Amino acid sequence: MTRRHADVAAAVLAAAVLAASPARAAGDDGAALAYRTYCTPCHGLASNGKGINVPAMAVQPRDHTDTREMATRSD
Amino acid sequence: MPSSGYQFDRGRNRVRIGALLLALGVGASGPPVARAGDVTALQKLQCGDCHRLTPPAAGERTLERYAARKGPDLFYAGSKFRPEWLRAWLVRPTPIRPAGLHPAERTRTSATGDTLAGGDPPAHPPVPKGRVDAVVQALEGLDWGRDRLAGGPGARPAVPRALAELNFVKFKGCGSCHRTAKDVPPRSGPDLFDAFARLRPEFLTSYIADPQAWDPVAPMPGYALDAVEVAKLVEYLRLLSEDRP
Repeated sequence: MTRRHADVAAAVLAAAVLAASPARAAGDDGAALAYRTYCTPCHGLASNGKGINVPAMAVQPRDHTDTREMATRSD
Repeated sequence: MPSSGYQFDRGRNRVRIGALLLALGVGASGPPVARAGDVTALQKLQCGDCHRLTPPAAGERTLERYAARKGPDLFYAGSKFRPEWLRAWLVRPTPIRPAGLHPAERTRTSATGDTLAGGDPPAHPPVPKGRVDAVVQALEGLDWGRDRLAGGPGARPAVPRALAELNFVKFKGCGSCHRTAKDVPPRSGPDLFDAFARLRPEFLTSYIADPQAWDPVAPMPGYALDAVEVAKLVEYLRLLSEDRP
């Protein structure tokens, strides 16, 4: 796994944490910044799969706030 | 306008010739000529206030530094940009990144989805015509990463335009983040409809093959594409350049 992949994996994990508990945004270990930089253009600032790039995409980005959907994904 | 093929080193040759003439004392009585690597012209215009002109140490190239940047790194501008494009753009700058350097900063959320606020990102200040040659020459001297350009892009693949576009937009997904036409909504990455006129072909090849070799925290994913697949993407950018008037 490359460092960037690790960052993205950490960021997706952070998204799930932040969605469940926004108050934990402060004091994270950089995952929130990684998510904001790498993930929000497609997955959206609200992590709901509605980022600014969506109109150009052939596939709807995953909604990271959908806990039922995210529970089906491996860590 | 870009050359029709991949060979491009006239600007670099001018730098070499300029350096040679300076070494021989030729033109000593003429107007001052910036030597390659001389960043005086950039310092006079305070380019360093927004752009990094000297390579950071490896440990400094963090996401925190990336997120705090006011402008793109320029310490490899000489490896990256075509000098004739720089000369024209610096005098009359236009936005390259329609969502700005940090798209999240300009993104607003709504029930129907995220949008970009505030129209075009702030314009780069124009460089006075009388200074642009010195600025371009100084930028040409910022050649970090030049060793990664060795070998160049190789032979141009024969790929039909329609297939090249399908490959770029759908198969490789580049169209999710990059615009290939100006009359569509902005996306998070730099515009690419003029990328072939803007960037050295050998840089395009090297960057697409391994973006993180140029910037360890670059948002563009590296897909470990082989040389043929990289060449197809560069060829599509060349074909796009033919669309421009």
